[in-house]
Amino acid sequence: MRVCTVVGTVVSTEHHPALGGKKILVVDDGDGGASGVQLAVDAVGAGSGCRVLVSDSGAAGSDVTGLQYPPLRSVVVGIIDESTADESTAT
Amino acid sequence: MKLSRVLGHVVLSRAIEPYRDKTLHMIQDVDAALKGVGEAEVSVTWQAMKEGDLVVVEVSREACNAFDTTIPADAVIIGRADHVCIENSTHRNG
Repeated sequence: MRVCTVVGTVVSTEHHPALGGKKILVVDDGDGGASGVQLAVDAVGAGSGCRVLVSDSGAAGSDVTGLQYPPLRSVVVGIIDESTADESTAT
Repeated sequence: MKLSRVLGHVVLSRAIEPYRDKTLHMIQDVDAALKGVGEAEVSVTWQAMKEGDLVVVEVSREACNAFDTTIPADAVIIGRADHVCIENSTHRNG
């Protein structure tokens, strides 16, 4: 799982049914944007500026969509209030 | 998931059965200024998009779940981004 910061949102009115009613967040995982804009579906009501935990597992996608086999896996599963380790070394 | 821009489309003259009747697009990742970064790649799409559209792309094994029957793909467009807001900048598609 990744520690990220929410830096924006994406509005999509034309989308796969699995994204219906879901908020899509732009998240920054601290790689300097080298891999382009990263997105994750919000499951916890996170907003811009929040430090969040992003899970990249199919199970998280299944949980947030209610589908057994969803076509997505990046999900914001928690808002981080406090962490004590150096996040630059977290994976 | 990532945000990409549609550069064009790809037509296959021969393909395995799961790719029949599927639309493929050439896409490129974008940075926070929505400028292209990295190399262009091919993605299956849930619905045909237009050249220049910003799109939400899933790039993982879950991409194969975007259709009624599983398709052997690791990148699929699952939405068109109408409005992108990143920190102090706002962008609209089209």
